[in-house]
Amino acid sequence: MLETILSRDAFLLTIELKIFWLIAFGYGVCLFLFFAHLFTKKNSIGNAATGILWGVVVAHAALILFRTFEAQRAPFQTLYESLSWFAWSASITYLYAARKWKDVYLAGIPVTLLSMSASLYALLSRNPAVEPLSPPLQSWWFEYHVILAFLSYAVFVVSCSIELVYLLIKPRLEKGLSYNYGLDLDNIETFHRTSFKLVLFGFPLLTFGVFSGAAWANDAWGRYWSWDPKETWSLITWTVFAMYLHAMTIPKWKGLPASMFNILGFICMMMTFLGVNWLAKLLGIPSLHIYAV
Amino acid sequence: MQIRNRWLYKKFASLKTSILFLGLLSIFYLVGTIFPQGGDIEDYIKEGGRFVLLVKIFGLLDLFSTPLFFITAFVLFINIFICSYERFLALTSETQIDTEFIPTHTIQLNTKENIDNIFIKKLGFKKIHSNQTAAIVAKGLSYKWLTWLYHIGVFLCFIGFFLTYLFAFEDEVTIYPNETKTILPSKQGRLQKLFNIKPKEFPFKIQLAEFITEYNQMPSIDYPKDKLSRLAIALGWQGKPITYKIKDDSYFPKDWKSRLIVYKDDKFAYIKTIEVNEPLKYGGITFYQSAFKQDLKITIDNSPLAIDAEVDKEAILPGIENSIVFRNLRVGTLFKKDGTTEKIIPSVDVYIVKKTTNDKKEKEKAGKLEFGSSLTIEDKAIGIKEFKEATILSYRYDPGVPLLWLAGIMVLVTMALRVYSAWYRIIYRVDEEQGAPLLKLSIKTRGLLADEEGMVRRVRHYAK
Ligand code: HEM
Repeated sequence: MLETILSRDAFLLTIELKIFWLIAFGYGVCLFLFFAHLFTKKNSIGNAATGILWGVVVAHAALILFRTFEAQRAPFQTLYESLSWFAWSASITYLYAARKWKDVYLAGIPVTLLSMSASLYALLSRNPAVEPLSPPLQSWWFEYHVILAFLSYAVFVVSCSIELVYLLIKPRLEKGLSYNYGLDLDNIETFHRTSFKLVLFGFPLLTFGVFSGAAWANDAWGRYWSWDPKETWSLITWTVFAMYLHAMTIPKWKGLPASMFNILGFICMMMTFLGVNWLAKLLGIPSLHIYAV
Repeated sequence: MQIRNRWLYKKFASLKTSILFLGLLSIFYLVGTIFPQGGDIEDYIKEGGRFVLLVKIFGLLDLFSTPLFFITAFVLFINIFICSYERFLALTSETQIDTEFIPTHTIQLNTKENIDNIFIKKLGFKKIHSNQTAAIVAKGLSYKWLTWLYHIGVFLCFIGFFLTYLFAFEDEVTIYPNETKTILPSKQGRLQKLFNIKPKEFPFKIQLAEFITEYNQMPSIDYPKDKLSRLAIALGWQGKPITYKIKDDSYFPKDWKSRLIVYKDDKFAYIKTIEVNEPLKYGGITFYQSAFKQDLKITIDNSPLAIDAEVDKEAILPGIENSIVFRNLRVGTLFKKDGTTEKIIPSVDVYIVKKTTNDKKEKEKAGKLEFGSSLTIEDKAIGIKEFKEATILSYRYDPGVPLLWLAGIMVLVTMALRVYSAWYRIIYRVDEEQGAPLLKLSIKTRGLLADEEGMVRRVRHYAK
């Protein structure tokens, strides 16, 4: 009986890994095509990239459901699982935000680059085994905390990508260069506004992420805030995005200063997600425990 | 009125001050992630920390209790307070039509219907103001009030943190099964410490009725760690399939539970089984399942005299030269992968501590000792006579938490409403031009669900 269960699980995991590799490859193909569009300037290539990305995202959604079935629980426990969710949610958010932007494909480059990298990092360096939930994770908060916090991450990825495209193209428009990747003086500000709207959308999610994390820690460890590096980085990210939103309400700061806050917010978010361990190692600094998720 | 014109007050009422101080706080946070907060300076030096002098001067290991951090946070707190006060005055003063009404849409009015009726009855707007120049109608929750409310929420959060900072304390207590304990905390809140108020014994007792440990059987996978082999498997170049295996040590903690009974005035008051994430709240104190302690009584060569040993600590056993460490005492229930459960035969891993040449200690596994059998070490047969598990509860008093719950929910709800829900404001006027009535309007929206074009389309539809 036990043997049958174990070999069934191994079989399912093998299938999952194979599909996940294909999906990572799919993100790579999209990245290649978005790059090709950058050089060839052919909209047909940009359209192909977007079309294929839709296919990859649908397949990835199916894979996440497959993992849910395989593990018999929400698939957000290990870093392997959250990387997969991150890759998927960033790409779907991009597709949703870009649906109105016919002929603008540049933001696809950073997004698919991140989705591919996150998938490859999960596949190459993390343990894919389905593991039971450890006692601290057995909480009502756990799933909501991870799902919503990671959704906000995805939104910030896309917002930052749009911000970068804006900063790249705006000077070209001012110089009067002829081809500007689908953007012109009429539509670039509306395009740019999408990045603000995305942060606006993500900020309450991030706020919920920090709040639910604290509420959870209060139940599990008996203290809602311990200044653990991971917690603290999430607070930095939150604060920087609050600075961005405020800068956007000051007319003089709406331009470059606000853009810088947005990009800084993205960097802080990546630090919260992955960089915490890395920084501690880099500086040779002893760090408190760091959560697995 | 006077004070509101002063330079300092104006600075405090400014959004730029908020951004500046949010930035300063971020820098504190950043420094706090670089130095282990709550750490010990000795440990910091031992573990190779490089900035010992800086750490000592600026108290970097307890940065968030330093006056400098406190003052920075306090300035932001005052800033939020003054901003909220100013916003409140602005919000409660009368709504004015923008001095110059610049219509952005002009719509032919072909209907006989009263225009106010269209906005109010058909489109669900509320009239806010009207004069000879124009009328203002609005729909949806006022975004200005919502913004104001979640800033108040943030303000209340600060008060919550402050209460925690002043009054909260936490400590630990170890209780054995069937033991009833009175608890006297050895720590107290900062304010009590400042006024030298001694901690008081809790006015109730706690008994541990039962301590339960449960484990899951956790299979591990046979899957290479190195990247190339993983790629090779994916490409089908390596024939070895992935397998799950149950190993001898595949015990994964499922739950630790303590059944606690509270006695007040020596009478039963409350009972609850607590676990991680499910604390006991009683008398303003919260008790958490923190850890557990395991004790053993060890026999040597079946001698009736048993020796006390604690799991994870070095023990000296008579007749055995090297010291011994017992680890991973497994008792309780195992939840197996196939859905069945099993009472675990209590067992413990035994390690011999050997001194190496350079005076370091090395632990070498000698084997697994099961209850009821024995293990031979240095010609001595050792066995387990008895084992006991005590629960370790951490407890905390924190009067900031209820306020933080309230303020946190307030921030979340009002912020979500502000950001997502739709709000519209339309300023309009009907002009007669060449005998035809024209509806002129300007529209402003807030909230991600607001659809400006859609709303104008609806107005056009009713104006037909
Ligand atoms: C930790 C502190 C703070 C947080 C988290 C915060 C959060 C936010 C957020 C997310 C927004 C943008 C969304 C919106 O427009 O409603 C905002 C807007 C704003 N905040 Fe703050 N805020 C903080 C402190 C302050 C302070 C101290 C002031 C006072 C100067 C302030 C004044 C404003 C104003 C005037 C707006 C524009 C609101 C509008 O669009 O009408 N905030 N705040």
